Amino acid sequence: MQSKAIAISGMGVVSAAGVGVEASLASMEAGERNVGPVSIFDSPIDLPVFEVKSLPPRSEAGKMRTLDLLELAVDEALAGAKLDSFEGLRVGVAMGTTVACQLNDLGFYSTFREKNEAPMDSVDGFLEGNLAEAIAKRLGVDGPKLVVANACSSGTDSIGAALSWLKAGLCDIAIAGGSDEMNRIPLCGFNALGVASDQPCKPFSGDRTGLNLGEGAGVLILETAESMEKRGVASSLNVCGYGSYADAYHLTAPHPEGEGLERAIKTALEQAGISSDEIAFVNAHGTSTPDNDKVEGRTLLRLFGEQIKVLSTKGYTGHTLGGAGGIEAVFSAAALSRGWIPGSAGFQTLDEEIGLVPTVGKTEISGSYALSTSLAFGGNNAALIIGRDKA
Amino acid sequence: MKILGTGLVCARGRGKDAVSSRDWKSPTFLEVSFQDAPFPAYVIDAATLKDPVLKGMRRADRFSKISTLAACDAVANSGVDIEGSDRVGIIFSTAFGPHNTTFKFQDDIIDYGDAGVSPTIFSNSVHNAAVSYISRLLKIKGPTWTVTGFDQPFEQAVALAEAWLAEGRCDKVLLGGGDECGTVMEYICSKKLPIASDGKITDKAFVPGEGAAFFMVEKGGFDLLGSADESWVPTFGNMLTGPALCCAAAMLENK
Repeated sequence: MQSKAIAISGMGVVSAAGVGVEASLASMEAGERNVGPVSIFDSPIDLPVFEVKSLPPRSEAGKMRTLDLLELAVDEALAGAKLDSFEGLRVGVAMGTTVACQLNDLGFYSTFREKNEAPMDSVDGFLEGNLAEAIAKRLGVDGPKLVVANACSSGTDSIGAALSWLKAGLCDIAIAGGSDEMNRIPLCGFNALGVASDQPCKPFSGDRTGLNLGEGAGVLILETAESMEKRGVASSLNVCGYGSYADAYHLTAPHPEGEGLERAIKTALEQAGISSDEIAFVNAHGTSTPDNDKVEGRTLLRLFGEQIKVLSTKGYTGHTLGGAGGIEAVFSAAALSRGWIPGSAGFQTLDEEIGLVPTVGKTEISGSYALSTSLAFGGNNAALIIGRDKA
Repeated sequence: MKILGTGLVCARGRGKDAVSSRDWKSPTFLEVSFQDAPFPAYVIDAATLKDPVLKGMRRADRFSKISTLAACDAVANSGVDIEGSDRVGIIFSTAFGPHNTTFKFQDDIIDYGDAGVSPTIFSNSVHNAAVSYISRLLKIKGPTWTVTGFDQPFEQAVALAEAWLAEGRCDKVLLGGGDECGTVMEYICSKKLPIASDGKITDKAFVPGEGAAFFMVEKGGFDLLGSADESWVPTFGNMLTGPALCCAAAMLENK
């Protein structure tokens, strides 16, 4: 099912690594890890997290922080794409999230539980905060709009949804990515599951003990060649392959042999019309949990061999859940265009069971394709291939 | 799109039996904490959810069970053997997801503290838990997605399914929609919408309802959304995935 690539005409990102693509790359190049205790809400759970410190905890009464983060990324992406007017354009919005699709305001619920009534501010914020609908309304666009709630692969899958729309002719431009805020519900949940670490995360390292939660948003502006030509803009980056497959195995654990992930990667390669040795680097899901990194690392080695350059940018951002796929797609595209990837922060010792050594320190890359992978709670796996036109 | 099979679980029951009569069926009038008067809602009774197919889902919540039953019924109704197929995908649309489980998890936080919560409840509180159960039970290995929205989420899912089939991402898609009722959501409805206190839905009076509908679809020339009978009285109650239930009712009648 090889198919035509879709151009990336703009991108935006915000995470603990920085606000904006350039600031994030500079921070990662310097090896900064902005990790610390939770500061934006009170919790007795003392675990390191990656927060966006430059954003106030709440902007407007009831408005979700997830949407604040997303708007920062969307604005940067639209500026990069030179999109200040949508007149005559059919624009879709696809966004991934986990936090923003749940009504999880503890203040509202505890008040309702106690008094059988509660102020509706946070409910209004929730109902007006569906990410795709809120962005579409803000921009005044009326193409297809969808929030993908596939847990940790949501951001990557939302880009996949946008590709499907563009190929089906449902829109000319799609704003796609993901966003999630630091929130008490997932902090409690991941702590209860025993997969959150009390140290800064160490993706693929033999001494890793779990993930750190993070927050942020990453957005791509995807556009057909016809639309780019009509607008008189150009881009050397594109999305040329995407695969999504389920493990059909377990509610929270990945398939031990990475079955669904392998299918997703192979389908993405097939769609891009390239072989595995043409991939310059893999920006892995790499959460730093024992299970994820073992399954993912082994699958990557099996498919790409020992020479493949692998990193996990979660060492700089933490696990941003529904935002991760969008953020990592932006980092992959930015790295591909600049010819280098940062070191995989946190890696210390080889895990003999995996046998994978990720990049240590800033590493130059050659080649025209990058792979970004996502493995989700619930068993969905996604793979995205980003291409760069040969100079 | 061509519809090969339909599954429906709603307050009226399950499958074709649920839509065999067009007689008006009264909603249940629930005793609720937030108002003195009984609150009308079309809720699914426990007997409807008793089925051996759910035997392996002891830990699943009610939302996942409702959705899984509808999905299994759609596959059975289609007569298609899909087990183990990576050419079949799932798209499940929901406006609110398993909100009762989300609130149950918040009960844990309030009652037992941040570090005393149940990991099982957390796992079931995520929007895509239902699809994970469906995928595992039916051994569906294609893309298995949950999508959400408040502006026509089922219709957005239909458009995506059509796109998947057109580009060859899947040969078949198990396409559905579902939502559940619950005390908090009923409270929100009471604050946001004109509730039909007599239980009779009109264009100005609303009764919330719950249920799920699934369709096994493949590429072909059939206008799913244009097929619903406009004269149909919406006696399922309504949430934002209501159109999925109405379509399912129409399909079951036609079949």
